[in-house]
Amino acid sequence: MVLALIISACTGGGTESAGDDQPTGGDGDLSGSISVVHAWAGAEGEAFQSVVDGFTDANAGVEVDLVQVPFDDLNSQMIQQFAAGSPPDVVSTLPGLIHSLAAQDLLLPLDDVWDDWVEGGEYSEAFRTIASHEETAYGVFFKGNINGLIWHRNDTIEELGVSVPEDWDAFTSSLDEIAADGTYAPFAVGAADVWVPTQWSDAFLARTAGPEVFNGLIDGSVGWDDPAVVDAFTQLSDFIEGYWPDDALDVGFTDANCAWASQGAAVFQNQGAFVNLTTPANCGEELDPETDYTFFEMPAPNPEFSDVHFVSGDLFSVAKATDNPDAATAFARYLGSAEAQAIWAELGGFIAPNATTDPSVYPTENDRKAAELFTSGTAVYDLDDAIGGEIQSVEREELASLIGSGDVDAFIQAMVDVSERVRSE
Amino acid sequence: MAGTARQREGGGIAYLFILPAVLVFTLFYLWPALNTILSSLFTWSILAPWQLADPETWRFAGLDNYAEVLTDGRFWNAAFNTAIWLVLFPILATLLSMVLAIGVWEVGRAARAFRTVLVLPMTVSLTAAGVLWVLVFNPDFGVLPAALGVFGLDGATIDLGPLHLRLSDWLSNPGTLELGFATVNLVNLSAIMPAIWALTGFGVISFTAGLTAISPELIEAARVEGANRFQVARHVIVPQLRAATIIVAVVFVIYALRTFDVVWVTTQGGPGTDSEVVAILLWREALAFFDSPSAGQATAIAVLLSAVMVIGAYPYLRSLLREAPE
Repeated sequence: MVLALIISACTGGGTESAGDDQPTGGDGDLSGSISVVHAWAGAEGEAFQSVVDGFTDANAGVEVDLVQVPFDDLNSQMIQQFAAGSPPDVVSTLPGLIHSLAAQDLLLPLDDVWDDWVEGGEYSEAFRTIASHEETAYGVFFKGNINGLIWHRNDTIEELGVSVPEDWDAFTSSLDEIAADGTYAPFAVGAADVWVPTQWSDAFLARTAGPEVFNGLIDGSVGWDDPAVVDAFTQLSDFIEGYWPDDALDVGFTDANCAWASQGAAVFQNQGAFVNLTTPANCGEELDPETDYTFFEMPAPNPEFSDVHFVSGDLFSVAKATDNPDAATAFARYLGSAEAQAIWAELGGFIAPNATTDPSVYPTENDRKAAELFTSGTAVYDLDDAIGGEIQSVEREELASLIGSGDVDAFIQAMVDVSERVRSE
Repeated sequence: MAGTARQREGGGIAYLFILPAVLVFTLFYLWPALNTILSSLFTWSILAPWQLADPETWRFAGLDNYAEVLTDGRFWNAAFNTAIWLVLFPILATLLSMVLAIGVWEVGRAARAFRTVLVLPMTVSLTAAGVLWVLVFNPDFGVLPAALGVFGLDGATIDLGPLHLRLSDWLSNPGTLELGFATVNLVNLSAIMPAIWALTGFGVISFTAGLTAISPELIEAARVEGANRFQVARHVIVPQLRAATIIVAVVFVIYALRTFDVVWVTTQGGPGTDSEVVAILLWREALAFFDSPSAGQATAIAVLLSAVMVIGAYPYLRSLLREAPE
């Protein structure tokens, strides 16, 4: 399975496509109810509700019952529901979960939907590959995200005289100066949330070891003890030692985000594009994206991989056991459409993976910049989300240990052990 | 002969009366237990489950799951963390609740108000208690770091022989205790504290019930003999609380063995596996590692845990059976 996305700048600027002829908002003939499980809360939950409203407005006969499950619990809760034979009709998935569920024939194939999209230029085959298991598509892309973005408050870096670094050396020089000055912490990090350290490790892996090694870890063709992998995690560990706060493992994402955004306790945070929306919602409505804060992409530790971007995305799948396959499939098709994605894109903190989405819908320069990065250069998909299951679970645990101990050898050995065991079964 | 026949008839009716209870016990307790034991002998996963009625799902593993579990370092790490719970939680919670119960009993008229305050945390679920304590430990706005900060102790390190304590990073790395043969990660104590806070009320209620059963004459006689308050407590009250102590301690031991909720919401067993207890490992093997056919190992852990729990609860069960009317 190759997950490298080599995406040319193919945003169509709202151009018409063959896929646009397909009913996305709905044909009004659908009826019944469908249950939809997703993981967004707060401002993101409200944004998703707006997207769902777009579907129910066009399909008055369909009732959509939304159920929100915390992101960290999504995989295990869905596994339990699918195993019990009572899954939701439509469920938010990641590639790893798609593989697990599709391998047991629990998801509805969506190849017809993808045929239309690829033919119409709405998505590339690379996206289809990510949403597929053994060459059958079981998921639709809804929300894109680009990670490894170094967010900063404009007033803080102005006060410190820090400029956007051109390369890795300039970046670490700035961090050294900030650390030596001591007025601000270099970074706010909420590593108590297990997904946060993976935002760092994936960015280091992608831009130190490169896409071939990165994707090799996903498909198992590269071992965790590969010298390039060891080097990436050694550099990450040194970076943590040098620039992370000591209490990173005691602070969650939201607290760290607000410590950076509203309290100005730290100069930078490394996060995905989505914080453009969640920051004002979580930390104070007076915060204005663009005016108050913006980002630059983390410089590549290895300049050879400067055009490699670490992206992620939220997909949706339809349960094979659904009682209402027509409405559920129509809803999935709608979520993958430019029409649905534009609704959230207009609210910010969202990158539309559908290439025909009009770029003018993005409300801030931050959103537009993030969307441009998403479709430029070479992209690799979030490593642990792509692998899923036990390897994902162990990587998250071992990253926490690595943060605490700095023991790269122990991390590598643990990953080698779990990877060999899972892949041998 | 007539009496024996009547007894036989009575016995039959008695069996009829207990039949619903036996059915409920068999359906909801005995059968799931047997099913768990059987499933621990097969290889399966939550998405490809073993089913007794479907031989096609049978991948017989014999005792391999048990061997796998008992030779896995991760299981022994979880067992060690559970042992920390098993030692610290019952001792601390029992002692604290006994001291508080006796103290409140001594204050006389205001006892009810104090008792209410002590019992109030019992009304909060352990999950909620864990969430509250996560806020207490928060390095930015938590009560504990703030209180320590008043005395200049926030972030202080204390090295006392084998004890290396850091008064910070409560949920990741508050220090270690070197035992020579093993290292105790004190982050376990950060998960134990909310449980003590929430469950001490149960001990206070139990000990208060025991205290009310002590004859006032006995205490009066000790005082007349010249015993001071401490001596009365040490030599008269505490020995009289023996039955309550056994009950409280055994209940706390059982809780310590099966603890999951409060650890999950405070540390999720981390950082890494530093505070992972057996129940969390069981859950991970069964549900988080869903792509690995390790659910058989999860049920093997469940069987082992149940066996230890039955052994742990034996004194309590024996005391209950002794007290049962003939």
